[in-house]
Amino acid sequence: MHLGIPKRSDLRPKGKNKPILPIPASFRGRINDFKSKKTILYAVLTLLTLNYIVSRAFFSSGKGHNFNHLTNQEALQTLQKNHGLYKHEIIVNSNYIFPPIEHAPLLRELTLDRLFKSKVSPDNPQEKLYYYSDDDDLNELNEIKDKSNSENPLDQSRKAFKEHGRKVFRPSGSKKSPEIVIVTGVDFEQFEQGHLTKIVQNRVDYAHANGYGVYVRWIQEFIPTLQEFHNDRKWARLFILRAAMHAFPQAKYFWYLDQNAYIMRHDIELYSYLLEPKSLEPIILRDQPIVPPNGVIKTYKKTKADDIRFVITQAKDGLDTDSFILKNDIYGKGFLEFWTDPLMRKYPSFAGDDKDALMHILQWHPVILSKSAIIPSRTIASLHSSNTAEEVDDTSFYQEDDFVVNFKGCDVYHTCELVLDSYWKKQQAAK
Amino acid sequence: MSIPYAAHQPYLKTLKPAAQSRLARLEPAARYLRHRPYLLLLPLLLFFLVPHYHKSPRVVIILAANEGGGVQRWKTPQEWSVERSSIANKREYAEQHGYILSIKDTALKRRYSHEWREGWEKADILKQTMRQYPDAEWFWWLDLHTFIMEPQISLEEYLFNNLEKRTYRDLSYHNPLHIPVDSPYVDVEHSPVDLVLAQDCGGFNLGSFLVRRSEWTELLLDVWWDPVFYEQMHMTWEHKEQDCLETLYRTQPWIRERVGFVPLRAINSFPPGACAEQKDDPQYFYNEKDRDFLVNMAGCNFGDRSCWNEYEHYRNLQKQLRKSRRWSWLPGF
Repeated sequence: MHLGIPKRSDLRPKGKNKPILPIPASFRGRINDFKSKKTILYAVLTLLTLNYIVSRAFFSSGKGHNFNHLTNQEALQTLQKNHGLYKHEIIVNSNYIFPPIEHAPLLRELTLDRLFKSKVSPDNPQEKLYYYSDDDDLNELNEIKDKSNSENPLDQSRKAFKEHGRKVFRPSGSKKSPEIVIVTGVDFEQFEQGHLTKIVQNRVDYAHANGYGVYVRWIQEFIPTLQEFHNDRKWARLFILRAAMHAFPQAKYFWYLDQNAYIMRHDIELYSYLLEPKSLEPIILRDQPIVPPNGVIKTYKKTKADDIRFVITQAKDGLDTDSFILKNDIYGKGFLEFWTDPLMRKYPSFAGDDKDALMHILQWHPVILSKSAIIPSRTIASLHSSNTAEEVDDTSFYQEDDFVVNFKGCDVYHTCELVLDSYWKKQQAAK
Repeated sequence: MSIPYAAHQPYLKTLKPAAQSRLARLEPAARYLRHRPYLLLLPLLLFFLVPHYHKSPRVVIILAANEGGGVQRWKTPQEWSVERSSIANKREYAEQHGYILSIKDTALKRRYSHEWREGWEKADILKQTMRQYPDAEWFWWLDLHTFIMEPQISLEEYLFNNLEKRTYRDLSYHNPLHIPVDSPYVDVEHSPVDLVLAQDCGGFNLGSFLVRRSEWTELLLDVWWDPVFYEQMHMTWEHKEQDCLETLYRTQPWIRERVGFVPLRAINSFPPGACAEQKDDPQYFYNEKDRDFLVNMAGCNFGDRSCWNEYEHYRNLQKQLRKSRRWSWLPGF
């Protein structure tokens, strides 16, 4: 009778120690069976894996995983070269790019007719349409070949005028790109050489004192583009600014300062004075109507100085595009190119003033508004006023020791030269 | 004042206890555990208590459902059926690759009291979806009448890896709109691709496109609809934001810089019937042998085409293709 007491032979050692006794014959058969089953299993698995690998490698079941068969590999490799308005550019190694101001009277003598090619407007036979022609012969530095080799100053100034837009700053050697570039458009038809010289000299002196770059263009260079949609010459400042961003690709900030403004303080460093978040933070006008005094759309209450890409001043009568700062990144570029889009320039109520387009953009595009800061005029564009009795806490009009004076509107009474002279003398006296 | 402690106990330095082996030091703990083996289960509990670590999905598929629905007429049962299978198709695809599927209603809405802005909601929906999934990077817009034919393809492998090298960075290769290829101020060399587009016979096609969350995208979505542009162009822009994007591409270099073009058949094959004027050009039409990724039955509700028929055709075709693929690893298949 079986009592459930284990036999000795049942108590086999466990673990690593192999049984010393031979395995009973009845077990052995089963184990062999198991072994051969395993072998068969392994064989099948190996076969399938191999087959899978072979089919993946040699038969094109992997073809559906890419679209290389649809693309032209050669076309993928060719990338368009980055260039400005002109395809052939002149590399310059100087921080200061400005036209020869002494050409102003010569250019005026040449008139637009000899600076551009022209045709009669199809809509209005009274009007001449100027256009660019890129047919000049260039030498290996992309300068215009001087065929006549003439010493005629008129030819020289014409050549310089046509070459000036091709100049781009590309640092070579140990030279570094400036972080801030001052941009100005000058008009040789509006002002005399002496006046223009003072303006450009002012920018260069200031830039030199602070290690900035200067980018000055003739407004007349953009006449054909302005004519497209009968835009006011004011619009040229945006084209010049865009060209400056191309000419100084490494710069971080671009400060457009109109020819009607004059930098009074050369000891003020723009970044720490204004652009640094801790300097900008307290002067941003928050919850401020974009169209004063009671526009519905206002600037954000909680704009952070870190987010700002665009800094502009506002006086009592609205935004002022005579002095503004744009950051050189995708927001800055995108915003500027959107601002100058043909559909903006074409819109009848914007054609006369770039400012109207700007006010529209800030009111309709929250992302752009959130990256923009409106600041009081006296920060970077104190307004000139002929009557001197001003309140002390005024934030618009020029007072002693202000950074920049903006005498916009002087052209109405033709007093620009006089006003500039008075400030120029004031500055000379301070030295 | 204080004499070093060791000086008072001269034996301390000489008579040290035998060094314990490191394991032996664990012995009390081991003994403790041996008597309470249930404690070993405690760490298991942590698995349930601590929320699982999820890698948040990088891709959101936006499916525009209910296109043009809402106001003009009732939907037919066939349209319901097409919508259902379209959703199921994307849902299956999203689940397989760990993407998010977000179905967006594009029924006609009255935005402004003075005018209809129907068909202009793509930018709004993209903005809203980007807010909804703040961790996702890529957003793949799909119109309702699209069908993913090869759901095993992952977008990462197919497109996102090495994206800049896989896409055309200008229009020189295929330019049905004759947009000037060269533009000043465009710097493709130093720009990533933030928008993946395909062109059909008539230009840009927004039936299937991918957009990456970026500063560029934020600005694009902000400027895409502008009242001044709209006022001047809404009579000419028949395809709304598609035409507008073409215009922006044409005139604004910053937009050009970051658009990458892929062949239509890479993300948006057409069935025969679309692009009727160029019906012999193989670059637009679905090719079964090449196993095109996706078919877009755009315009199937116009003319003598039928969405439901086309949809059923491609659904069955996909089933067949999948069946054949199921045995592809066996010898002889």
